[in-house]
Amino acid sequence: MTDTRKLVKDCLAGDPTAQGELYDLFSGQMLGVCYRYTKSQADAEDVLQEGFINVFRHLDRFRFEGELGAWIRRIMVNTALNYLKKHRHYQQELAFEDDAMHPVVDDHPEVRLGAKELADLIRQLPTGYQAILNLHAIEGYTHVEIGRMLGIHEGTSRSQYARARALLITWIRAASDHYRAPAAPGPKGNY
Amino acid sequence: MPDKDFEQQLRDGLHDWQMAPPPPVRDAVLEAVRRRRRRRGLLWIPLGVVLLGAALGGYYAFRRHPAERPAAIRQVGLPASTVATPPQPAVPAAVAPAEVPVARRAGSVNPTASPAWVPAVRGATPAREAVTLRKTGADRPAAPAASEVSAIAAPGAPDLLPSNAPVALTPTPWSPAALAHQPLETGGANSGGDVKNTGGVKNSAKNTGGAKPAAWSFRVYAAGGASGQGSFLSFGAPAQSQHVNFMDAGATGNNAGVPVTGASGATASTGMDTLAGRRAGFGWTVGVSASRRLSSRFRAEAGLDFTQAETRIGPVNGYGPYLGYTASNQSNYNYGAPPYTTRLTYINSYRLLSLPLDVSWSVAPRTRAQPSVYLGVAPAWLFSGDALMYNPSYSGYEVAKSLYRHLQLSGELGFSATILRFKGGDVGAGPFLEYGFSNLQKFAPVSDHLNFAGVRLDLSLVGKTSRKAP
Repeated sequence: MTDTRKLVKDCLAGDPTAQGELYDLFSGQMLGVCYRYTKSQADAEDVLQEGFINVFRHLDRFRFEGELGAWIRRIMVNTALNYLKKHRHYQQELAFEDDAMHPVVDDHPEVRLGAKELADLIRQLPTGYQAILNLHAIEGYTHVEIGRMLGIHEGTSRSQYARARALLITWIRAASDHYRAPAAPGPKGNY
Repeated sequence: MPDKDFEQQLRDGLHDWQMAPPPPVRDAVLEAVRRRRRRRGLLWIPLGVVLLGAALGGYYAFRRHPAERPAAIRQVGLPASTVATPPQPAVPAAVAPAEVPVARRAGSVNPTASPAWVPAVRGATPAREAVTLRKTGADRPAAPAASEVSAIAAPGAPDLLPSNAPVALTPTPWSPAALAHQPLETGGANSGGDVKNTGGVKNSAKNTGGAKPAAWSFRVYAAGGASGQGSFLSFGAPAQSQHVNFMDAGATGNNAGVPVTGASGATASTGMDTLAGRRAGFGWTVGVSASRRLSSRFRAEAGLDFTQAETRIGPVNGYGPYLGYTASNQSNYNYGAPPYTTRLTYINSYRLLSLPLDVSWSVAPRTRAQPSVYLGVAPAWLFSGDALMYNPSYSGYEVAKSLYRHLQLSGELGFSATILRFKGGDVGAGPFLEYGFSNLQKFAPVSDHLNFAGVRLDLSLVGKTSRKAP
């Protein structure tokens, strides 16, 4: 088992081996996080790179009060959100407008898709929905926290999440049908 | 299926899902970290260069070199035996012009002792004459008697005299009276200029031994005034809707944060924080510099100074259903949850180590105050403090040294005039303005500049005058 404390101290001392080890330890999981927040593999890798640079830059502030992985994940999530805010092609979809109407689905399908397929479906949501769904459903942030992170009202986060969720459920159902009957059309046909 | 199940399934499926990152990302990350470390080391190089330059400059400026000591220095207040003076006939003590400045007396050479000397003397300026005398030792007339030298350049003789002061000399054919219409009185480099310093080479040469302004000058300075952060050349900023939280160093991302209200008192709307207003605080600087003469009016100056600049940010409210950490002026992870009615103003303390590089222009070198204007840039290392700065990783403000340790570039503009003179230096004072070119904070969306204005007081120690006597 890796001694996290020693690893962090070695990284802070500038040991490149330790830095590489830290990266190897968490990069796979963090790329999974970045993948869910972005629309392309290249963007996910950009966020991963930027996020790890932030991790090494702020590593001296890790207090060993929680898990290192959770701390790195939080930095990755924030890096991803900033990436979305910063890049023009995401900004329009981050408008969080309440007038975007989507059907509200009340049923709850059992998710039988693989992680990759599920992640791909989430990536096809509009960027705002995608971020809120990731933050609430997967990371476990409350709507109050999401509102503060994204600079939106708590109520907006709640309603956007409901719509994102309904849309995703529709797609999951369609995807499940698709896997059961390959001829059936999917939401955007590329998953 | 209950509502929670869907989220749980998503979480189970995706929370720990991994993908294999491509190797180039790894290389890029590690290279970026390595570069950052290397850059940190390189920051000390400019500091070392400046200190080395200052040390060398000091050595050369104050090195004693009797053979190269300017004539003006020797003429003023040094023992008579060391003064190279042309021969003069004995002058009765009663009329010995003890009050006559050396430069004028240098012109009162007995032409009869060396007829060939007369045209040169009469056509030359006093200083030029003195130089000629020194350089042409072979043609020089015989050395004067000790009494003559004493009368001419007695140690007690004043070296300063207004140009219109009466000159009492024996009316001999070669005396100053006889030469009253010659360049000695009316012409030469000193005519219309300042005769007081008696070096006489340049009219602008004042208090510098008479040749040129000193080649090197060293300065210790201190300044105080108002410092503020805001847009370029602003010392404050109104509250803005910026969607950021305030946190202290102990804050952990999304669980902490202190919503704030602006200086105007407008409360932040629900779920949206406000960037508090910024106001000016007190700043001070101490530093040293060395300057080198570029021409009679221009000098180049380099230095090293320390600045502490405070700015005020707030008022900040402790408020909200969250565990709010106090945005107090205490670093080191103060985890105090404030009473929610607390309103406080946070004082940002920025500390900078600057390397100011200026060019100064002497506006009126002939005047006593010698006013000058300086303009330059000052790369600075913002190295310490406990300022609240925006951290994009946490989407909020926090006190974290890693956020504000960075290089920044400032410009500076100032005016200085001499207010007090003493042997070997002077004291000057004047207003100044330092304005940050680069952003004070590393990250968008906050783009404040650190600005600082006030009064600077400096103590200058003038190095030896130019060795290149014309």
